[in-house]
Amino acid sequence: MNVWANLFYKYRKFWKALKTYLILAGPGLIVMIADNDAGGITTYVVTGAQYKYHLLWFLILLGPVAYYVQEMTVRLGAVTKRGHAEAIFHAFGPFWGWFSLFDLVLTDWLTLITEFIGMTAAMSIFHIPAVITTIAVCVLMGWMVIQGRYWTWEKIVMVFCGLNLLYVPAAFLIHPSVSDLLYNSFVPHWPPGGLTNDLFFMLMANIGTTIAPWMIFFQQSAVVDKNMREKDILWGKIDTAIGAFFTVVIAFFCVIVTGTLLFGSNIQDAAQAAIQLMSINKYLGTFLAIGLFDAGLLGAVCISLASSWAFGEVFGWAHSLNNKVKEAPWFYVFYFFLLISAGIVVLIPGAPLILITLFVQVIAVTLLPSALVFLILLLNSEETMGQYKNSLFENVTNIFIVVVIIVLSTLYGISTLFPNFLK
Amino acid sequence: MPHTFLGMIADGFKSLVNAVKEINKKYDKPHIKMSKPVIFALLTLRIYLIVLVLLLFYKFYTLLVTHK
Repeated sequence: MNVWANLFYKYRKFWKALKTYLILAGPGLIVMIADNDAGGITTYVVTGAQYKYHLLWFLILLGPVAYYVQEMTVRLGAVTKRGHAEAIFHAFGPFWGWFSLFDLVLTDWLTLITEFIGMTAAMSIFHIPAVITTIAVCVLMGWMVIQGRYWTWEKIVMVFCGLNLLYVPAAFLIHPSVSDLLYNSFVPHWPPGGLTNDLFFMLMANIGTTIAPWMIFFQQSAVVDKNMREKDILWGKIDTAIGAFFTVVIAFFCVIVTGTLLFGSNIQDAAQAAIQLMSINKYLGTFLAIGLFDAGLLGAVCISLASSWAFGEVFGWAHSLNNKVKEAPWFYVFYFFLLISAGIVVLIPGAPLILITLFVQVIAVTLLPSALVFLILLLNSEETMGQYKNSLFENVTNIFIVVVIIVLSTLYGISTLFPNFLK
Repeated sequence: MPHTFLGMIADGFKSLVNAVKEINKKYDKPHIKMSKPVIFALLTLRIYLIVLVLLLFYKFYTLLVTHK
């Protein structure tokens, strides 16, 4: 009887914990899965096509890196009840505040254009014109936010996050060699040819796609909008850890698909890979195309919100997804302005889209280091964080990660500006 | 004046400037304790950004020169 009572108690305890998690889950999962946006999927596709499975171990390492950076935003948001933009204004004054805000909006707007490029390219595989895709995306994203409830928006986005897992069944369809996968996943090594400039550029691209400036701003604002408190920090951390796990899973399986079927092909982007896969297996090509569209959509949803939240926080507008359009007009106006203007750019004939894609990486490099440095400084501020400030272990880990990210992303940005820089 | 289109733009611009002034006033003083590591980090960040901006200008200059 005692055993049964014990089991029942444990079951109730587990069920209660699961229910609490399901209520508090969201920001971490969404930001991490949206991290695999259109640019991210393109990076993974090219990684697989160029280096087969040889960089799988590196992708696995990026999971903890993403977790440690994003986990700090959970604590900062839950303790200060401020988004990252407002926290920077409050702690460091107007100079750094305005710099971060305008850099964020510029980076987000340019990244939003790249998401539209990805989505229109993906849908063009199904012969859907770019103008139809753009209008449909704007309508869908508009409908998602005007529900007037953060909870509804979050659950709709979760459905799209689930769709991003399409790469998992796609990888199972092609039966890759399990022993090869295990070796390449858990034994760190360089691909044949060693550490070349091209490989270094690819590693930097993978890091660049794992940590983006908008993620820091988005998750902190989402934590505030969800009204998470200090007692919810543990659940926020678990949510972020699960999200980091899934972001690695998606990247991992995406590389498996292209590494198995397209290794050695000259692949430049995900849409091109989807077209090539169509000729090998129409289901795989379709999966990749839908996955690319979904990735672009998730990225667009989060990026446009990150900017609107940041502007709302600083200008003091009502800026919650729990507000109706009438209650927070400027918040929604700004959201739609970013969305529609980015969509229009993609539709302009002869718009310099490749230049924009390259420019994003350079502009992101001007924002990412400052956002990360502010994060570390704020998390070390006793008066801001109290008992939730960084421990010695967290500081050592986070400062190491931040320094590595800053150095590599700077090299990535500079080598985008000057392609011969590393040669 | 306020009834014309230009007047409305002028009013909008004025209210934006006022909002920016208010924000600057509200966040006038940094609330973080300016310890040595914080000052060092902010100074390094400024130098880093200046170097990046100079590199961007240099890139545009070389682009302009090669296009001529």
